[in-house]
Amino acid sequence: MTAVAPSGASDAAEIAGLRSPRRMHPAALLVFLATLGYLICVVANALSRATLAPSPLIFWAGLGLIVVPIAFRLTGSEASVRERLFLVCLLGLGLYAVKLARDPFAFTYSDELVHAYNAVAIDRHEALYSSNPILPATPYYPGLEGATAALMKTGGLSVFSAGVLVVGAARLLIMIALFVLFDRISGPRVAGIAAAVYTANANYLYFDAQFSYESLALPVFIAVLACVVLWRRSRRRALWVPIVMGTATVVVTHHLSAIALAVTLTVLCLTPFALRRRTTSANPWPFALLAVLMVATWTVFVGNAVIDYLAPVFEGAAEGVKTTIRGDTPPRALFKPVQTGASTIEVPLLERILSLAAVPVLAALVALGLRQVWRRRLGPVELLLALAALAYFGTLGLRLSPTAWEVGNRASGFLFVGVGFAVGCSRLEHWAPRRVPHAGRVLLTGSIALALLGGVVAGWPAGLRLSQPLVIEAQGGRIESESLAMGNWLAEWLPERRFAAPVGDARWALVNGRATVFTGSHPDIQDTLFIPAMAPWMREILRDNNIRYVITDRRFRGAVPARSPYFSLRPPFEAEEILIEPYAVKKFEDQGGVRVFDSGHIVIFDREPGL
Amino acid sequence: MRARHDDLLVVAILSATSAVGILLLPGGVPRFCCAAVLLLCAPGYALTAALFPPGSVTGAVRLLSCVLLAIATLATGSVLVHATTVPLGRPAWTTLALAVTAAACVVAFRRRGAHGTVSFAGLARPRVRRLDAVLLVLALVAASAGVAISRTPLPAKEALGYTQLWMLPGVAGPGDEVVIGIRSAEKRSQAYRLELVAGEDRRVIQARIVLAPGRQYQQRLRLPDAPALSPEPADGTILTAELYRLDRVGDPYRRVTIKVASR
Repeated sequence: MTAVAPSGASDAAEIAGLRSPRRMHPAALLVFLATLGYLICVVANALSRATLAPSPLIFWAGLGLIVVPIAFRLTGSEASVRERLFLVCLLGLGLYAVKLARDPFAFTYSDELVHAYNAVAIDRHEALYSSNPILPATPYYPGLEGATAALMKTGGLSVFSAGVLVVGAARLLIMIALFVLFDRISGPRVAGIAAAVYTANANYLYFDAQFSYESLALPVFIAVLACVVLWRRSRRRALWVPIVMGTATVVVTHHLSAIALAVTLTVLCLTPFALRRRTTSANPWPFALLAVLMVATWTVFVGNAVIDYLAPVFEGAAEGVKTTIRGDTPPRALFKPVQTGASTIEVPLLERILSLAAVPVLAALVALGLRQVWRRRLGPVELLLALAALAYFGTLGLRLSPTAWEVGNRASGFLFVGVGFAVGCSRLEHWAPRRVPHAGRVLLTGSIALALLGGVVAGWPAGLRLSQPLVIEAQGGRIESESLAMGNWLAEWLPERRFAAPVGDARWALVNGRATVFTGSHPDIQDTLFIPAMAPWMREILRDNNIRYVITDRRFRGAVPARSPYFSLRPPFEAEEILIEPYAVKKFEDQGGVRVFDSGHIVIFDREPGL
Repeated sequence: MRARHDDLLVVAILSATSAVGILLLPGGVPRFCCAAVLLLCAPGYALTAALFPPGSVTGAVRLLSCVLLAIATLATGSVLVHATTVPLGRPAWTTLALAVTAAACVVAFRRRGAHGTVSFAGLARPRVRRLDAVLLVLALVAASAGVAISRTPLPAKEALGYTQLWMLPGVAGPGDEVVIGIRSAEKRSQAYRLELVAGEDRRVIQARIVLAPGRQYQQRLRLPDAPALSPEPADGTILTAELYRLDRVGDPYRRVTIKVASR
């Protein structure tokens, strides 16, 4: 393997390049290619919105054009530190732009609408901690929504525009933080590669780019970790401020990230003892203690609703793992077809193969990287990251359990930091046989691209990867989907009322309609809306919760948050809409309610007419 | 040599100007720019300048600190302001951001003293080669085209349109007046007929309403004008509004009801 060129040589090369009037700076070309890739992704999404069924290759080509040239440049030795940081930021923002290309008009993800409601509530009431009927724990973690409401109030922005900016800032932060973290440990070349590898994690492109509290908390978590690593070596007191402020931000933003931060810092305190080695670096125990105290204080005094929210999730996950191992529950099918309410969408065979192939490729690179790290003297931070990389592969097994899948999926955003670090240390880019001097770089770049593809396939259902028709043009006019229009109608005609609604439609009523909406199983609104008979317990639920209005949706997709926002499509482009039993809707009228609104599939009943 | 702090001066002036802009401007792009400067840029930069004198940390660390502290100021600031019971309105946010920025600038100024000069006078003009400039302009064009295409609603041939119909009590109350509304989300202009039914009695309210996609029709109806209701509507009478599409025969296309309350 060829030796790494020292960074001084790369700076000298850059200066020499600058002096030449004919040469083009690579960064300019990469900016152009990244924006071209973004434009291609926009075209793919536009074709999908226009129901023209674009080939998936268009989307993959656009994504590849963003990632591959940048990754290849980062594997080289010529780029300066400044250029590597720039490219890493460009990569992060370019991929964020892909998410925005999918959802250019409004938030559409289930959790986005819930958090948008909280931000709107803060903006309207000019106070925190308003209630949220769908996810009651969320208002007690107001970091994301508070920052968003600040921009709404001062800049006169909509919740969508302000939310895009806040999450965009978070996406920029995560890339900078990863670069600084890895640069401090292993130098800028490893830092650039590792940060690029991180974008291959399954949640990066869509899930962690949504307007949700983890999307802000996770980048701040990594930024705090980077600052702690800097502090360990330098002991600069000034670093206390970003560490403390960052920790406080994570604590007030997202419960799981706060717990993860406290655990991570605690493990970092203990790893020197595990290594049984004296170190000149400072032990970050004050920050670990501070994080633990902050998490405990916030949970006890403000966010105690989260205990009831999280406990069933972890209990269910643990139970699910046991039953899956025992064989009582069948394992979760990988690449499960997505039931959209009207269609079933399969994952293409080639995507499945490539996604599965990404796992052993990543594992091999991680193994190579950990070997390198072990050789050069494992420090506490390296040990922590190595453990994270190994734990990531352990959590892949959780994806086989139907109830533990979510835990494994959420953990990957944190643990993949270790994977990025390990792959960055693999030194594959240094493999340069005489006949093919760039073989190592090409292989590493190809591996990053494959890992990214695998991550996108694993992280988001195939049929929902591209934009669906939410707002369309018709004869010069602009029309919205039935669910979105219903929410807007509520805002104009029945604002701030109390509703029962199917899970998907409930979110539009919540955000756009500024309504108090009851949905799901607790209380059992779902069965109240779907069972074609009116039982006494249903009347009791509606009465006990003071629910005057009922939103019914004859389409099954009304209960599928991922599909409910969009227009129904006509056969054979999409399968015939699955409709629920007619009497499930009619029973509300037979019980004395009146139909105040009818848009075909969606009918709204007033249970107490005449008041 | 006299110490210069051009960056702090620029931050202070921009922050003060932005604060005034946020409080006084009605809205739109200028106020958004003020908000972006004062909330997203100034606190992070000023705090970083206060914590890390020039040359003490790398550019990457400085950038990390700027972005982290900007986000942290907003996120934790909301919690702190709320704890003081001050409403989270424009004055509160503006005051918070301006106070943090001003305090940090003062600290930065004092810490730098005569040694931490930041002067724009000595900065070299960045050199951009022609080819780079062309590529960057093309990138800007591509990005702009992407945003424009993204934000443009497109015809969706396979999407199924629909029509909304509603009927609600008017301002005067359910015994006196109702409001009937129709909004077309069909893919092409549609003609409708609107009828009102009370028991066996039926009356055509509008024989022909033509709506283009996205257009709306509303009618306020005084109940004495409704069929079979004179001289007085009985308590609990159910009025039904039925909407028919003129290009279809048969059952109503949409149907809404209202119960007349006592007057």
